[in-house]
Amino acid sequence: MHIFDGVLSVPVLVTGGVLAGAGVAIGLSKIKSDMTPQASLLAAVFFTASLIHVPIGPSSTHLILNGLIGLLMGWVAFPIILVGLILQALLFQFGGITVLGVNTFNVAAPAVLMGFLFRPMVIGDDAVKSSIGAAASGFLSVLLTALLVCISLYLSNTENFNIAAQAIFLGHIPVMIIEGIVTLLVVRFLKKVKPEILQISATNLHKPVLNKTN
Amino acid sequence: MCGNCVQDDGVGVDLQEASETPNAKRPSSLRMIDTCPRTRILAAIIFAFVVASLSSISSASLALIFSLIITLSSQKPIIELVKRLLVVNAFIIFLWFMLPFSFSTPGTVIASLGPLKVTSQGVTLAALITLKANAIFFTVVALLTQGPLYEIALAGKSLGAPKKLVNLILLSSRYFHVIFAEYQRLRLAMRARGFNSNFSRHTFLSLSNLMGMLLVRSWDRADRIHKAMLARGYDGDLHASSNFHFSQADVLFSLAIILVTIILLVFEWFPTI
Repeated sequence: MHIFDGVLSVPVLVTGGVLAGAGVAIGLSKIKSDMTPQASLLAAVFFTASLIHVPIGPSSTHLILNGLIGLLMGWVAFPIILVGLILQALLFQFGGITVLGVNTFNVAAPAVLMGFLFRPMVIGDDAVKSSIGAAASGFLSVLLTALLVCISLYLSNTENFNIAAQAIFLGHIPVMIIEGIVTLLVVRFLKKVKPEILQISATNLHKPVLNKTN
Repeated sequence: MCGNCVQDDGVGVDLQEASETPNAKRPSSLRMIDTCPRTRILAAIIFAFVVASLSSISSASLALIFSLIITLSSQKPIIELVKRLLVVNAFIIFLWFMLPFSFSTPGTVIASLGPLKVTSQGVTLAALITLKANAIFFTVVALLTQGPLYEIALAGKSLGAPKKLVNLILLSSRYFHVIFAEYQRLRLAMRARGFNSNFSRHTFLSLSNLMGMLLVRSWDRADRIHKAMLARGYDGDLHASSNFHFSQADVLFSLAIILVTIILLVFEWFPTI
């Protein structure tokens, strides 16, 4: 789902970098220092999730789960996704330095939007509404990310990336459906097993949660 | 593997990869391993953005040659790089299937496959992207994956990266290994119970529960880590004893990168030379 170095034009790279920088700054301001371990481990979990392969028919895809990140973390999705991409670039040695900003924005902006739109529905008591909200955020976040990837390609080279962008968007439709299903199932699991993760994570990420386990 | 792995001096964020340390010292020759991580970060960023801005085949080819020289001087195992190269080039291969056939402004047709016309402009664009992508990949990997990741993160901090972001990178790169091991353990347990990943309702439910379980366990683990860190005097900052200094190797390396950048830009602006 992310773009490699050398494909996008410099104006697109810079715009992406500025937008992502603003998002990361807001996200970091929401993390109080005593929540750093919590946010770091969630970043590590979502990075692990991106290594889990889920079958689509005979083929398979890896999870993105940016909808779930947005539901849990709100604005903190920006620094978390940036950290994931940095780990991928340096720890796994895949590169992707110039496109760090664009890729962060393309994945994190839909995540934050999903948090705003669906979080009230998802944490509510109505099980049906909660499920619909979770599935919608999984589906729509990937849809919007695919759209942003296409827009980045399109703005870089309007006439020539046209068909490639369309192919990428169509190729991601099965991924949207899978992400919708998985986000729905993970939210249902969390509601049964540890509802406080959903309750406290995004709104109170800046408040200590130490006392809950005394 | 609980919280006590992180010490307040940041040493706990050591990774397995840290084992590749510099060997014999030869101070007179220019060796990348002697350069300061800060120099390497700046060099990688400048080089990567300059290459990203190139638009002629000749300058992009030159960039690829320079990046290969940098890679060779970094003494990285080549086989490892080639494995990464395949992943990075997967998207490039996809573009090679698309671009030559889809140049919309009428280009010079050099071959045709039934209704598909291969234009020379499309091929040029695909070649340009291939050269640039690989040049940036080689340089970034050679410069920034020397030694452990925490060194780069701390160097970033001393260059002015936000403190909280650096702490996030330090902690998550440290605990990624722990969480990944947890994932593999859960996956092994599933396999031992006959789980087989196929396209079915059961697979989706199982993998989602696995993901949920990872979230729950890491949430609890983060609590324990935080307590352990507090017990060791955590005050919101991971203090690390990093003293970066600008050595002779840095001066030589910086000059080399500046020279390379100027040569690339000259080739870009005056392609007829």
